[in-house]
Amino acid sequence: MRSEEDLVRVLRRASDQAEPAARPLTELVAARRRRRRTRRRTLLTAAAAVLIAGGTAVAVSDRDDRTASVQDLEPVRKVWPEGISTLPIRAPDGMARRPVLSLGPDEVLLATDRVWSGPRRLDVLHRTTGAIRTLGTVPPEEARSYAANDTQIAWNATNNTVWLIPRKGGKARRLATSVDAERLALSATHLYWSRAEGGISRIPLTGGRSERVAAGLHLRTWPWAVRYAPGVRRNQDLLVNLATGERRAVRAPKDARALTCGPEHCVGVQGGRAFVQRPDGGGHRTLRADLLFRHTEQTIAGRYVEIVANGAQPTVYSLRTGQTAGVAGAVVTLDDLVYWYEGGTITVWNPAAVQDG
Amino acid sequence: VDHTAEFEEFVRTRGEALLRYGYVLTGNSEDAADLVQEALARLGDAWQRVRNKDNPEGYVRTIMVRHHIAAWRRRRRENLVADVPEQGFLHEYGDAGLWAELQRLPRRQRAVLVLRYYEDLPDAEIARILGVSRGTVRSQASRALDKLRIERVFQEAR
Repeated sequence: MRSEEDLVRVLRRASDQAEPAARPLTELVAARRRRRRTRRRTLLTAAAAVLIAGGTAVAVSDRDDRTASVQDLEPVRKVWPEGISTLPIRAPDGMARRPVLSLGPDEVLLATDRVWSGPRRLDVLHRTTGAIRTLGTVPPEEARSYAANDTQIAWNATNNTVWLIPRKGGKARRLATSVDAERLALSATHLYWSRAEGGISRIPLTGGRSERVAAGLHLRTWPWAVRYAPGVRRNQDLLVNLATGERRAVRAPKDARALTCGPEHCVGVQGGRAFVQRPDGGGHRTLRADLLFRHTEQTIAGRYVEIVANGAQPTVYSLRTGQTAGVAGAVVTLDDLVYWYEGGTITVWNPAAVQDG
Repeated sequence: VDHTAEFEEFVRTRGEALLRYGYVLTGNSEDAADLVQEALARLGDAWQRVRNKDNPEGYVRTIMVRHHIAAWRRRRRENLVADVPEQGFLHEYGDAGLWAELQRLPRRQRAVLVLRYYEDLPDAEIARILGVSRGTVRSQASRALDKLRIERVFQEAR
């Protein structure tokens, strides 16, 4: 007899076989939209396929629309304005910017490149002044993840190399090759990484040999790592502080799944409902039935999550206070920040700058 | 206001993940690419509306799964005699058989399994996406799991 775990594994492994698009997806999609427009014009003249509903033209063929109503939520920029900065998507030289990592309360790391190819560089956005400074150019391979300490920034590229660049700017330096990492973290002296199947290794920032430091653990934000309980439910059952060696057991409620923890808060799903608790099981509260995590197993800076109310408006929920705030537009949620596009600008919300909430 | 740059950025940053999702839904790269392009084209046409009140990622994934099921209904071209190519990547765990059997499931049943075990969505959300009742989701999932001879352990937790 097979298990649900087998199914999860087969689906995950199969998805790795998806081939990248033969040509840039943006081009292929643009071409298809042009074809669709031509076809639709033909259709519209043949039959008046448009309903006028409340003054809004609605194409009858567009049956995939979601109909969930939108909550009137105070937007994030009003509720937690401290963390907000806005910048143009395009740099003056035409390259596109993208926030990739919070560098503490005052700065956000930006990856700046041309769509699909060409030169790439790293820039830093200063929250209060809005100034953007360039750290340096970086190799063309796409980065998988970034990490930072007080003086350095590290990333791993799709070709399994790991790079460092000083936070004050300078030349990028290759630290290691053949590092197949799901996630990176930087201490003052070492680069740590964990593998997708579990297990943490490290290498000195000055270079040298790598060593394995913990079996079966997965990195979270430095200095924390987690372990998963056996089985398909993806519940974390242990938090480990890699700097001090402290171990904290996590107590999962019965029937919980996707229990995902930081040192202060855990989030999980139980009976189809989202819940929040502390790692020791205290402070357990179940969220309203229509509030679902947009991504299970992801928190923002360890103290917020992104939820959707009935699949409608993306909403940020504070695990500390239970406060909610709405986000509109194309929202991208990273482990430590959220950003969204508005016209030609990107608005970044960096929770590290938020004291209360 | 021209939102082209913003839409392109979405395509660029989410394209790869959507292709992966398309691959588990359709079972091959060609159909996955077609499905992703179709869904993104529709998202592009609706971008202004979707970005203002909805979540583009959820929107496009919903279109993908609905379109995948609907296209099959229209064409009635059921791949009952599945011609499953060699799947070397699954052999080391002896998983090739399960992947091949997944391809032979009716699309709606496979979609339910993908939403539940790949997307990790609760049954209520799956029901909403597919426009069916929660009971239907449960019975389709249950039938599919039986066909694949998969023991159900934590279904009750959903």
